[in-house]
Amino acid sequence: MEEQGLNSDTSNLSPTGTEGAQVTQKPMFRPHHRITFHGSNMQYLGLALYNLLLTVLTLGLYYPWAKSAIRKFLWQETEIDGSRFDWHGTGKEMFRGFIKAYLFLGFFFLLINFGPMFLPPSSVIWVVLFSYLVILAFVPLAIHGAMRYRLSRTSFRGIHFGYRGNLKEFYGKVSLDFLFTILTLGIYGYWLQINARRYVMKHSRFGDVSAKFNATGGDFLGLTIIQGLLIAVTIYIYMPWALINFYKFYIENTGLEQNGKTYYLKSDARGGDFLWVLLKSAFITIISLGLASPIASLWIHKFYIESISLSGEFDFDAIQQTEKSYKDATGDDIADILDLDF
Amino acid sequence: MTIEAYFIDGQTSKRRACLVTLQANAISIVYYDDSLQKLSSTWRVDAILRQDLRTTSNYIKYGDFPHQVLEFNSEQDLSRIIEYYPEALFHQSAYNKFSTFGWKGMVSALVGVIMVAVFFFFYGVPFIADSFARSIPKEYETYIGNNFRQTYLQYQTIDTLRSEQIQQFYNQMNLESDYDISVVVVDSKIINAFALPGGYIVVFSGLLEMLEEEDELAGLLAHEASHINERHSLRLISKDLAMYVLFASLTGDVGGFSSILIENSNLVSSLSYSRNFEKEADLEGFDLLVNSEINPKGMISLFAKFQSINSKMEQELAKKMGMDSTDLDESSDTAKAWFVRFIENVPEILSTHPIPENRIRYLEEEMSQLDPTLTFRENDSLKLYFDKLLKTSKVSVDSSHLGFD
Ligand SMILES: [Zn+2]
Repeated sequence: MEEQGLNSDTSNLSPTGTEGAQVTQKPMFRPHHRITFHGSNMQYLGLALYNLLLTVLTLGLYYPWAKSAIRKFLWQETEIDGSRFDWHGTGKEMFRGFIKAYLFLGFFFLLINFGPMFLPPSSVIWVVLFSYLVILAFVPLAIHGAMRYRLSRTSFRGIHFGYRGNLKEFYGKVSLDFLFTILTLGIYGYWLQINARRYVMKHSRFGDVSAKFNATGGDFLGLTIIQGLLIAVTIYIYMPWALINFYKFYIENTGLEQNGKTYYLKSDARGGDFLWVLLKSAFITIISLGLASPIASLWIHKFYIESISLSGEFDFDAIQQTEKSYKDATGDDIADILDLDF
Repeated sequence: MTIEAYFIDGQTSKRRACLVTLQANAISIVYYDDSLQKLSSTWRVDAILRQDLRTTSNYIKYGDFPHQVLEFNSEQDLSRIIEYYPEALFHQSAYNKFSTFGWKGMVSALVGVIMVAVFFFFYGVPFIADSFARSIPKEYETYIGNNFRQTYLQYQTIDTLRSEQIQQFYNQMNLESDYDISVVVVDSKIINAFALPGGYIVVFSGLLEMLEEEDELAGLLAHEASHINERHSLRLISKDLAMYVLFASLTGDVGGFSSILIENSNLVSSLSYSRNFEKEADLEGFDLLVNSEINPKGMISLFAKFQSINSKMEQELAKKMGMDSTDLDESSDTAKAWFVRFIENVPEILSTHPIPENRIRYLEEEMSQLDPTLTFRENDSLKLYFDKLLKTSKVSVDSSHLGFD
């Protein structure tokens, strides 16, 4: 507390701190990095109630701020290798994206839902069809904008995530796959989804660490067929196990590339445990008449996220900030308009 | 005050052990870089970035991008900093204040939410929607109604002859209305009739088969004309639309899910809304008839008819289930009797219309309050058109639906 104390403390401080101890252990076996989630149920419930109150009072205008606060809560309570994630997004930013998405999409949804009442009967079908097409065409833009926004506003140990996908390129790929999907009567849709995910992952960054998604549309189709059969044979009893298998498919095919080496995420989630979480969540939601539903959704979130681990060889201390140069390259108004998040 | 912590410089993710010293308006940080050189950094307290949410996280950030970060060993260490600078902006927020209220705050928030929601749901939204629907110009209302009519009639067979006759009947009634009302008869076994915005009435021929007196048809048309005069269907649509916008904005879901929500949670309130409209149409229709010197008793006999058919069907169902008619007495409380009553009489709370018993009751009350010296015109001309209508009658009727909208 006193000025003098500072000097004596500083001299005790080892130059590399506790890190020094870890450096000597480096060649030895390093345990997996596990994600832990610390969010308290009551804290989350309070936040959800507060958000609901303000959202109702402002006739929905508070919604983006509510969403931002929830995200901040989820990010900050998520820990790996002893540090927390951080969310830098603000309600104001989300509000801008929200208004854009709302005015645009809301108009077409209104047209679809209520158009038949107001429009001349002969034109209804065309207007509705056109509205669906517009909304469909909006999807890649929304994914692009959301990835850009979400990743750039997420950080860990001061290092920002980022997205470097090119919208034009993404549209080109997706449109071609969409065409194939129509031509193959939907079957190619499995490739469409996975190819889109591969593209998005490939262009996602965590500082100088890049991500990748390893599976193909064929893998996804195979998984869907097997899980679908198992669900059908067991009359839906297999559902929780199937959901976990899909979750593991997404997680375990996601890799992080550091210094030329790819480390794949692992999930040790199990269907039986998931069923238990689902039952618990359903129970608490029902007996509380829905009031405790935020707690239920937090349990499910915790279950999913805490199942994730990463090889101990991945070094969370050696990530370089790269986001700055990225920001300079695309920090213009057009990109800002695409910063949609909803 | 000195605290051990980790310092992250914003260039790499490397956590460097550091010593943090709290001063009056700044935090001073001493750490070593990779070449073991002693470095220091000073954070102005007023430039520490806002942590507007109190979580169990244990860091604070400073400055412009790329931010520097101080990570503490525990939440307690961070709390010590917050306590050291109680007025500092970086840890102030409305929610943090709210969360200090604890359970009391949450419960009052909950009560607040419920009260506000109930108010908007039952008063605010219907009021706004109603004012909106009332302010729509008549020409546009007629345009919408015409759309509805065309869409609907595309799939129906119009009985042109009877449509002309019923129109003449309607004109002869000479009801007061701001709208040019046109009546159409649709060929259908179903017993029904409804009104569209802007002056269109559709009557199903099945309903015509049930009528025995011109007063009954007059009662039916007066009821529908009142729906048109009061813009009931437009007001209902407008309320649904408002509910959609409200739900979509509350849930942030502009697409599919909220429309399902609306259909379910809006149902009960919509039903009571619609029952009120039906009662209003009955009572105003009654007044329209009286003002045009037509005897309103036909309205009552129409509902009496529905009621008697209903109880007949009840008895038939009872017979099919092997019960005799006494089993259906009010007093009999067997599961079967309950089932039959339930099947044949949808409870009023779940119905868009008041039950016929209630409609007869309030109409008879109106009847008894009429001036006894009041005379009704000799309805010869109405009877003439009514008889014409009946002449072209066809027989088969499907009475699974009873009544009109
Ligand atoms: Zn009606």
